[in-house]
Amino acid sequence: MSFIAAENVTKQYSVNGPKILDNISLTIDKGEFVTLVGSSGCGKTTLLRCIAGLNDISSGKIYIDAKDCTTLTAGERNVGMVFQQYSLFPNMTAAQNVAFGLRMQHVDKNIIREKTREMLDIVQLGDKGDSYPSQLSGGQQQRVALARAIITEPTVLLLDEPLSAIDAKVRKMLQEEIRRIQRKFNITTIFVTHDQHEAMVMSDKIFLMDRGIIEQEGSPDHVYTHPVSFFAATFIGDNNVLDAASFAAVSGGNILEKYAVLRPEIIHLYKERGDIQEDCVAKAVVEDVIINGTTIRYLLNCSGVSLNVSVLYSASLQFRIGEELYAAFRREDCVFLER
Amino acid sequence: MKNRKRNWFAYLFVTLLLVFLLMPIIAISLYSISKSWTTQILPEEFTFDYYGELFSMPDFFLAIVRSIGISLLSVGLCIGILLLALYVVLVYKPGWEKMLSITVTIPYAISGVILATSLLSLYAGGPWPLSNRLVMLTFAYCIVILPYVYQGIRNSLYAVNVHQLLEVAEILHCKKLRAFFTIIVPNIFSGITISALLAIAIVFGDFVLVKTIAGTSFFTLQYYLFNAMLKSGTRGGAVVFVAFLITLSIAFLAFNLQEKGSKHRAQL
Repeated sequence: MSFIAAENVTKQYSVNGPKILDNISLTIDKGEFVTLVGSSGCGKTTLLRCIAGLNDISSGKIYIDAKDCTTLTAGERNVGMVFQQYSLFPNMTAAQNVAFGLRMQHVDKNIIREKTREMLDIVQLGDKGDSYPSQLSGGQQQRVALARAIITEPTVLLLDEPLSAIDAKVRKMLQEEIRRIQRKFNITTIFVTHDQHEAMVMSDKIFLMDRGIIEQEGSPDHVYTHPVSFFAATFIGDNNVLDAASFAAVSGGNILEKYAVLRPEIIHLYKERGDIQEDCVAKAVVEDVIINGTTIRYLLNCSGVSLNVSVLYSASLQFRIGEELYAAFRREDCVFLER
Repeated sequence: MKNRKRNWFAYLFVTLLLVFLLMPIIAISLYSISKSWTTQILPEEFTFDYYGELFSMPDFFLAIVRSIGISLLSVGLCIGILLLALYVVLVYKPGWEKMLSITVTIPYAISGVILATSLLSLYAGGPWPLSNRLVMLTFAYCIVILPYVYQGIRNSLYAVNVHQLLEVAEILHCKKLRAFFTIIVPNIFSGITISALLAIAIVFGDFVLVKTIAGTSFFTLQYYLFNAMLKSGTRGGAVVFVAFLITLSIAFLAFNLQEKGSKHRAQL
């Protein structure tokens, strides 16, 4: 049996109101790091809060560690949660914040002191125990919030967009930190984000949500390379999603399905036609060049169709704006979608 | 150059404001120690006899104790009731907040005399403790200070992310009521302190309610002042200045305690 399960979970705020969660079922194994990802308003935070026990569900069941938790309060579910706005207690120091959960459980004072010190060291804030939240940076506050959530040894760790309010460099560091701590304690973790890159980087499994339903689930690799719908293809990655007519213009071939998905890295660029081995070839003009550090992104105009191509940075092979070239790809590398 | 001009203007403005605010207190303190003050800018002769007279009367100290006691009791009661009411509204019935806001402003529209006579006619013949004048007076004061205390506390609550803090506390196995009083209330303590001081000043300075409801059975400082004014203005001035010093001391103590509380929490 899976460690966490949601069975036919539906959430509505009123009887005739819209369904925030529409008959959702999911399973999560012990120790997995899963991400609920989707655009704003898709229901990912609502689902997380329902699992936490902070929101009721209209129908369905929620199981945590083989126990039916549907009617249990948040305090009874033994979950740990980190919120987007950190939500540290402003009147308590970092150490007091971290120790709070253990104090509520009436743990021995000496054990509390020791565990608090240990946890602050794990999140690399050993010297910040006496600081108040207002004296800490955003990244530090989030680490305190994480330590506070983990110290009570929760069954599940829930993270509701914890890195949204943090700048890019610190966010990258915290992504690694969260993953490191999750692996260290082997805590089953559910992470909510609207950032698909963050989801891909951090997760063992992704649940892609749209309008209250789970559109697709799978490993990051699978969800990226095998999207099942137009929404999945456009949300995850920077895919080129072409309708039948556009695909025909680009490849010279026809499709029976509604859409063809071309990932940016499956399209190869050539100066001369003679070198090409792929079966689908089209002439194109470079409209824009964006250097992303280790990769270069080319925006091409290919017989009136815009194509987005990503290649590894190479000083010897670069194309300029306005330059004509050949874009080629293998038909078997494409994904074809009915919807 | 521009900054110096702006600073000069700021200093001048603050000085004038301080003079404006302190002038009545300085004037009353001078008046209270003047033996005669007729046509000159300053008193012709000074004396501390009136203060000597005041501090030699046990009634005076009793009046002070009664005033402080009833102020603290009614303010404490009002704050306690309001905090519990706000807890219920914020946690369980958020839709009731508007109704609560409207209800607590009703006392603004009720004058002291109407309140006092209405309470007397309603409860005077009733069972104890409702008919007890001191109990009636205490709760009358609670009603009068209700809007002031509510506004101060409610404004402080807006600055705190109440719901999310309560949710975090709940997840960390803390009961909601305990979370409200151990996490939320300490974070709005400055708002509570300021509301309490304002309310204490209102209760401390009241004469209408105490005269109408309690009469001479509960002799407060304001009643003492009324009687002193009948004898002479300088005696009244002395009582006013002492009342000012008491209110100032209460405010100083309150802010000092608030400061110590913050430092104590830092040391834990």
